Amino acid sequence: MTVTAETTTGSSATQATTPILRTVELTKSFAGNVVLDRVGFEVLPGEIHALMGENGAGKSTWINLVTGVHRPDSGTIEFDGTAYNGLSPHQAESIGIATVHQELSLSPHLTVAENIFLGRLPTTSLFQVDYDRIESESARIFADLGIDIDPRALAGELPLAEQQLVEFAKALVAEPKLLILDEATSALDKAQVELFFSSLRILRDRGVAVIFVSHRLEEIFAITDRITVLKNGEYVTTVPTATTSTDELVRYMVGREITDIFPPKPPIDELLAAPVVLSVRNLSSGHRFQNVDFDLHRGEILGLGGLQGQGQRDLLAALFGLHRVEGEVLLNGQPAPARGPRAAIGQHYAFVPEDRKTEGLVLQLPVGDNLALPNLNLVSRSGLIDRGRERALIDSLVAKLQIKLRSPKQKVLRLSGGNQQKVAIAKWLPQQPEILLLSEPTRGIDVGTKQEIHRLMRELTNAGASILLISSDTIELLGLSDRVLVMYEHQPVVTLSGADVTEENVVHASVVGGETILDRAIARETAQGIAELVETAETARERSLNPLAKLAVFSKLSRAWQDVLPIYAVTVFFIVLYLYMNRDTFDIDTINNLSAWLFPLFLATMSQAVIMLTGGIDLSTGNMMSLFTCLLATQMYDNPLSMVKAVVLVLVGGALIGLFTGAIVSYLKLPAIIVTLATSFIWAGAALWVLPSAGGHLPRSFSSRFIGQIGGVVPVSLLVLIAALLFWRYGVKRTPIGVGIYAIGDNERGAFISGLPVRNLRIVAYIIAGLFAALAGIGLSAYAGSGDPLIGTTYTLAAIAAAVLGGISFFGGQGYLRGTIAGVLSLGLVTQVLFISGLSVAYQRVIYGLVLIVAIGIKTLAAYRIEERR
Amino acid sequence: MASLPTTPSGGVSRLRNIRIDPVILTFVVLLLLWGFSVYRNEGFRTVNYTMLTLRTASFLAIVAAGQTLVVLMGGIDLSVAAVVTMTGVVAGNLMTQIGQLGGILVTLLIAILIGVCNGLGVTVLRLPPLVMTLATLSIIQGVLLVYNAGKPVSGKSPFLEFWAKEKILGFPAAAWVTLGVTIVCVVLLHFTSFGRGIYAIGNNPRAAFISGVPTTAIQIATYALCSFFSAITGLLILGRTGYSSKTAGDPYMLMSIAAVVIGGTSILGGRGKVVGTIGGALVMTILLNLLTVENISESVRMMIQGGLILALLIAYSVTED
Repeated sequence: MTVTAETTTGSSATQATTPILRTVELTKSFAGNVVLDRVGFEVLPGEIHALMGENGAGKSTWINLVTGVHRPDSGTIEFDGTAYNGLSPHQAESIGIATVHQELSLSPHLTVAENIFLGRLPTTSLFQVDYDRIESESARIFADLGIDIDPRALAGELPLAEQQLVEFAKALVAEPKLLILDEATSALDKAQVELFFSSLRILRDRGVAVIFVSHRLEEIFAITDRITVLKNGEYVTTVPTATTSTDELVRYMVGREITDIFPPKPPIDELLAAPVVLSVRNLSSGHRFQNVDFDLHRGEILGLGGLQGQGQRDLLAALFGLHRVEGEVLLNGQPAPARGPRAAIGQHYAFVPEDRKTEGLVLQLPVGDNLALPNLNLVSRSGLIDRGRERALIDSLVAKLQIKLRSPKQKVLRLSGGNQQKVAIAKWLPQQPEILLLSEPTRGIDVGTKQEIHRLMRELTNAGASILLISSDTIELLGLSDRVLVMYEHQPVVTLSGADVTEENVVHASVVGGETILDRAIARETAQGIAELVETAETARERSLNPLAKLAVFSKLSRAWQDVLPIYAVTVFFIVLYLYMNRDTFDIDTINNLSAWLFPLFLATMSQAVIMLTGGIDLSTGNMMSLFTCLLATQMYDNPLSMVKAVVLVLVGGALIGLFTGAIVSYLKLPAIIVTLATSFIWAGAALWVLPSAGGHLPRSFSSRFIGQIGGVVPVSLLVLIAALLFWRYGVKRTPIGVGIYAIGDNERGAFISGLPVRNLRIVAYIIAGLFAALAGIGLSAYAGSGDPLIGTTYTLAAIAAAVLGGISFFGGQGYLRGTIAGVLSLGLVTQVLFISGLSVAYQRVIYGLVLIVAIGIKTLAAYRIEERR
Repeated sequence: MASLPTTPSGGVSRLRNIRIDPVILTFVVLLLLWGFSVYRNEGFRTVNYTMLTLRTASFLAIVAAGQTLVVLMGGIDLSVAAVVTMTGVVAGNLMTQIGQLGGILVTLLIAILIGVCNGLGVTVLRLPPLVMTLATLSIIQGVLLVYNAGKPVSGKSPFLEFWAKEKILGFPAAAWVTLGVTIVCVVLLHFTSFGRGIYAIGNNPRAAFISGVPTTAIQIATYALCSFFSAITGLLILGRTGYSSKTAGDPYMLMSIAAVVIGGTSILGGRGKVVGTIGGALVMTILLNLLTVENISESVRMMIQGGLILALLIAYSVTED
């Protein structure tokens, strides 16, 4: 069966009749389930084409095939006159297909302009990123869109809606012939949607084809020219928007054949007369869901309907104590706020999350261990697990649910999807749950097992349990639920009960929303003030994240300087203290000495900072430095040529070590922390091998040159440091490579989607770090006047502490090397102050340790709090 | 219409499924290594030497058993080195002041507190385990330097001397301690909900949490246990040498991790056995003895150790799917 699109087109697609995109018999199945079955239709240039369908209709799969995320099993994609059997993401982009995904791919700590041009950054003749150009072009795009976003702002600090618009701008820069918008308006408010639409119309009039997916039906009617409906993985029809009504659309989307047989439901009147087990009043959890009200009766299955991602899953998780909530939860009439899984289990809740592989089960553990995990209290005697009772419990569960396995010692991983799901449900039964929170209990499993699970659910409710059910399969939801609560835009819109539980009603409420939502939309339009109020609250929140921004003086500084200001204040304090303590002996030599003494720590910290920017950490920095001092002290003789040779040898060595470590970390995907722990011992051993004890024959002339001054004034070490910083700034940071290094540490997946060579960029970062470590080693041997196989040991931790203190994030992508200057100065001066004041220098180790715990601890806690509050 | 080939799967990974239990592999390697060392060197054939090896390996095995618990849980403890050192210094000092038993008990208590701090940092402050334990390592080292200015302390204790040097039923007393520690670990891991929790957290902390495993309490307790075991080794070293040195614990950081990895425990957590680690400790000890006897310098020994761990990590990551 070949289905082609009708040739009648919408209002404005008049200038061209050759389709830009034509899919022919596209078919795709996952694990034996056909999710897209011979789907074919055409998209014309200069039209906005909506793609509609229920959950699981095949929209996402179709988009993934066209954008190259997946390859079709069969069928062709004809784009701009060429037929393809399948595309790669890169290929799709190069032939002119751009996508704005629902999930954001921005690097939060890069600027808006950098994000928009990531993967195609233009450079000046000196290989510098052409910031003037990307900023002015970004500004022009925003001006065209009619929105005001600062191209220099950090993407992560924009409100969600503006981030979505940045994603849109990023897609536009590619100058696509086909633009796919997958729920690209979900975070926008009404005014922003209008702006967005007017620029979409401009694009359309330029001949760009747009595919538009949205759960908001009003938007589809407002902007699209034609609508294609998919159902059950199959093509249904393509209709012009202008002559189609909501009811007609809903009819196209529904009407699936009911092939499954569901267990009989009890009479609804009886059910509603049963006592209320769980009562939820005005429950909200940040942006996850708001104002949820419902009563769950004893023996009832209450379905949570609506399109995917309308807050249903978070609601179940919140009831199980996984999210903070506001509002009332009454359990058998008593207030019972959710406090966490253990408390919830004690209240006889059971939770089967929709993702059994990451949340529902411990896949790598045996079936038996998984079944016993929540029930160990039941099979233990005086603290010890009674293996016999445990085995009996496991066997009874396996028998009850007819789980097919070779032995309970088999890993869950090895079971079929259906049997895995049975384990995920069975493990809760010994706890005799009264409220079961089931999210997608039958997703991706065979029909036979599906029916077994359906029967089990009814058995449980007939025995007095109650179930809250999420299923994106509307037919299943209808077949099982006594009542259905439909959610739309994170709020409940309607509760259907008894004979009203029909596909038509559920789908209608899912795509149109209920009256509540319509009322809200009207209210929003008439009272614009509310939107503005929200806007002000948002900006206030953003401000509070960066307290210094409040002060006018500071707001004039660039963002980077604002970030490092606090540590500079600390540094100034230590400088003053240090100068005061040294007031009698202070002269130019003191500065010179200080510079030469701090130089190794400076470079070690820069080396560490580069690795940390990629999201890694290097535990081998110090031992690498030891090795380099030993190499210098054995390879260098008192003549200029030999000195140059030895220095070059060490620099090349640093680069090679970086290449080695970087290759292992990025190609074998091993954690940097463990790899460098192992290599640190190799370098330490190598250092001892080169030079068994401190000494060597490092020429005096080399030392005195490096720690001396030029013209008796400017310390050489300071000049080298400045050269290294300039190299970082102009040779790396402001080039596309530098932006790439920040991007991979910030959002590796986003960087990959933007087409960056993630693995090679990481290796480059390690090579740069190796070079900095080599310089640190050179400075260290010059200052010590010798080689020493143990001299570098303390630098590893000191460098991590200084980098963290200087604002380099432990989690990558964030921080500036200018901050590390202050971090190093502070830590270095603390040591000096300890020394001068006669306290043990050993305290410095305590300080390094405390700095690590406090500085990183504060950041992780803050990040966690923000995440929790969202 | 020609259908496209789907992504390759099945074939290769099926081959990988047929895998030997890494613990058995460890003991095969141990046997081969022991055989080789006996073949190479007559001195290795004596009962005395074998008992000496057992005793030396015991010191490592006890720390490594604790490290295994932490690694199984998906963490890592670098502070074991500092705890071993701390035990010697503090017990050495305290025993002269408050007597043998008091000194030992207080020292063990301090060790447990350090472990609790590690656990709190990892759970409450959500620090990566490596950073937290690296920080405590540095802090303890600093405090010890100030406390003791790095001078060796003599701490004679007949009780510790007995366990470190004497024999029971022909075997070194330290080996019996190792046996005890091993039994405790095996019972904890396989016969208590604590142990089940460790494996569950190591494989999937989120799923473990949702299944009602008290993840915070278990993590804190595991770090405490690891510190406690390290302290036992610290006491045994004090008993053997009769004085405490500021570097006594240093080798144990890498060696304990090496023993864990050689013993077949995944460095990423969730898979492995304490028994394997005991084998790993023996392998490390015999390997080092062999290298020493073969006149391999300390520098090359370090490179071999580091290289061995790296090679095992790489081998592990390549064979994993």
